[in-house]
Order: sequence, then structure tokens, then C-alpha cells
Amino acid sequence: MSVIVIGAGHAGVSAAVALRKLDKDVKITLLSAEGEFPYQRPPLSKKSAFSENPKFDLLQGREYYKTHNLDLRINSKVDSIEKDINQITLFSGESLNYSQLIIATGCRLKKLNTVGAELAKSLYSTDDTKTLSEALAKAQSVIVIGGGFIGCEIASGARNLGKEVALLEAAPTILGRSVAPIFASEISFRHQNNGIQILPNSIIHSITDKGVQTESGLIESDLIVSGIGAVPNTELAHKSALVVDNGIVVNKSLQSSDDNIFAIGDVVNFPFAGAPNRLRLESIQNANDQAKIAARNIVAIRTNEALIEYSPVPWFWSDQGDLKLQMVGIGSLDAKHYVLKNQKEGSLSVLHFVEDELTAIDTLNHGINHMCGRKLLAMNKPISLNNVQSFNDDLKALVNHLR
Amino acid sequence: MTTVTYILEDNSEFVIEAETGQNLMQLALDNGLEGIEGACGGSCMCATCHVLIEEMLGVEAEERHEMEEEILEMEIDDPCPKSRLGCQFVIPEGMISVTARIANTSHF
Repeated sequence: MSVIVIGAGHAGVSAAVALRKLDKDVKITLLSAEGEFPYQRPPLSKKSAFSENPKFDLLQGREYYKTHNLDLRINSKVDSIEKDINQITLFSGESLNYSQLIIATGCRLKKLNTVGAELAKSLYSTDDTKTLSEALAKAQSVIVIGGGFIGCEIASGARNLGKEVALLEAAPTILGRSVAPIFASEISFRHQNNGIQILPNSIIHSITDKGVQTESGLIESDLIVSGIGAVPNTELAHKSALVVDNGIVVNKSLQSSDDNIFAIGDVVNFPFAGAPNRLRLESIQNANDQAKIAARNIVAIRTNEALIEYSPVPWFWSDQGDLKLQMVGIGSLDAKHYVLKNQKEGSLSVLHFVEDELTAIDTLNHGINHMCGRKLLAMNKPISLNNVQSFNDDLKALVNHLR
Repeated sequence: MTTVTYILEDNSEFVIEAETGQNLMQLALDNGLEGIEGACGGSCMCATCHVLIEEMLGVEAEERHEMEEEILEMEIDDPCPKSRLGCQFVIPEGMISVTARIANTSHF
């Protein structure tokens, strides 16, 4: 019996580690397309890119793979899956057999589709991080294209290094797709107070060595960084005739259209109990929790037990200078948004209600309310605005009451 | 260098010579210690790196900051003054030694 994990980001490594904890004997092969030991990705945009000599934190110590009998193979990109004979083939030509396969191929960055796009830096890998760190050391002014979480993190990091920073966003507001509008405008306000120039509704014509040419004119800058989102790496799954639709489509037990092939992490489109009824999430919580479910289910298949289902309370975070953004649940622009009153200074907590039922909470610099949100949403009972207000907007009191 | 002693869940000790600036979560991961998961990569978000600081010699580490206090308060059943999130405990210049007991908070 052997399990192959394709991809050694958070999801892939977590799955291998979890499986080894559950089964001391199963043969586990962990394949990485990258050329280094698996590393922590969140710090890249939050910390490493803004250090002079970026260091990279590993997901597990170098010895871990040997001592836990995990066959980690770096520089091992998979070319195809021959699912009818439970086999994969690497680009090197080597073929390997599996009993169960876990696909954790993650995402890659969306590329700008504009003249001069190649002049913009981006941030995904350790190499990108080193390149950006070196470029930041030489630059006085920086333009960041894209006002999502990563774009905001890069802009904040550059600003904290004392750079002149402009953040260009195509939509009318930054963070427009992710959080409540009132939350997004507060974050935008804080960034502007910190000296970041925010330029919404920016239509980019081209990028040159002088800066970015937008519809409203040339914005000059020494360094341009793009952070406009990511797309799932589904090519391998698609080529192998697995069902793909904005990610590899899986069931609640995280099996793809082939029962022996699981998929986890950023690359997965999974069924969700709330709305919308299918999700693809790019997050650490999703990667780690799915990894554990997949590991358990692989053991369950072997022992003929029932498979367990993934029913998450999704959570996310973003570190933007002094701002810690924490989100729990799946927020919606159509929800009713309620700002909690009487909260500690400098914080903001916005609740999302759909049909008077709590679905998500966005918090700025308020860990207690975020953690309360995780607990409330995990209770699986409807929480109404009235429930919240009857505890004077004190979420901790509400949690303690319901516990 | 700072001498870091981890007390593992079976009460055995594991001693590491650490450099200034390292944190107790990543140091434990780098050395393959069981009981520290560090699921969020050291971002003060998951509380899977809970340790109890039993002793410090020399320069002491910075105290808990507000977010760490909040996460500990909400995620650890019975946080005590010794409780720290390992990822937020950064070894300062001049610390001679520190002893950290790994408190099992793994959600697995």
C-alpha cells in the first residue's frame, strides 16, 4: 500500500504529516515541483520580502522527512496521472504506483494582461521574495497593482520601509470581493492615513520602465509589483480526465471524480453547507484542515470505515503593517452588515447577517471577536442580530451564554 | 547563543542552542519536536504552539502583546502567566537560557 502526495505546500505537507501520524507503516511519497525543502508561505508577503536578507521558515525541519520515513522528492514535477492503473508519471519519465493519491498542486499567480507586464515583479515563491527584497532596497517609490489581501500586504510592507507607495485597484474599492464594504473603507482609510496613495478604478494601459500608464496619466515609480490574485493549478487533473470546474471538483469527503484520488487545498472546489454551495478557498485553514480529513479518509478506506466529511468554519487573516485583519465565515456583499458598538479603541468588528442569521465576521485588531466568531459559527445554530444586541454587542458574553 | 530546553509531553528534555531572533515555534519545528504544530506558520492565529515558560535566565523575552493575549484567552482553556504562543516568543540578544514546556493544544 502506498500513498503519493503531489505538491508540498501547506496542504501536501500537512497531509503527509497527518497520514504518518495515523499510520506508521504506509509508504508515503511527497512530490514537490519546487527545488527546495517545503517552506511556510504566509510570511513571504507579511515579513520576508521586507527584510534585507530574507530567511525562509520551513514547514518541517530538514531531518523530519527522513526520521518519519516520508520520501520527499524535490524538483519532481508530475506529467500525468494514469488513473485506470493507479500510476503517475513524472516529467523525468519515471512512473510510480499508488493505492491512493492526494493532489495538492495549489495555485499560481494570475498574470497581468498588459503591455510591459513582464516589468512588474510578483510574489509567490522564495525566489520572488529575494528578488522583491533586492528591488525594494534600491527603490524610492513603489506601485502595487491589485488591492486584495496580498496587494495590501505588499503596499504596507513597502510603506513601512519608508517608500512612497501607490496602490492601484481596478474596482471602486480595495478588498472589494473579500469583506464588508464598511470594513474595506476603514482599511482603505487607515492605509491612506499611513501615507499609502490608494487609486481605485484604475485602468492600466501599459507598464514601462518609468512607471504605470493608466487611463488618467502616467504614475511614475522605481518599482512595480503585481498582486492580482491566483488561479488553481488544475492542468494535471484536467489532462487526467478528472472533473474540473474552478478547481478540482471533490465531494464532501474530498474525493475527486476518482474515488482513490483526493484533492486538497487551494486547488479544490468543494461542497459547502452555507452559501455559496461550492467554494474554492485559498487559505491556510482550508489547506491544513482538508489535509487532515484526506489523511483520515485514506486510512478509513483501508480499514473499511465510513469516510468523514469536511464541514469547515473558514477563517483567514492578513497582516498589513499595524493592521491585523481576521475574517471568519464566508462574507457576502449582499448580507446585512452590522458594526459592533462599544468595542476597544482602534478596532472594528463587522458582522454579516443573511436572513437574520450570522454568516461571517470581519475584525480589525480584535482577536477576541474573531475567535468568538469561530466558536459561534461552529455551533451550527442560528445567531440573530437580536441575540447579539441582547448581550450589548459583547460576543464573548454571547459565546459563554450559548456554551 | 541561547540554551533552549524543551520539556516534552513525556517529561523528557530536549536541549537546543538557538540564535537570537529565533522563535520557540519554528525552533521546535526545525528540530522535529512533537506537540508543536504551528499550523498558521507563526502568525498568531491558531494557538497550536502553546508553551509554558518555566524559567528564563539573562535578558528576558518581550512580554505578551495584545493579540497574543487575546488568542490565548480565547483558545487555551486555562492560560496561566507562564502561557505563551511559541511563535510570538522571540529569543532576545542576551538571553542565556529558557525552559519551555510543550503544552499539548494540537487540534488533531
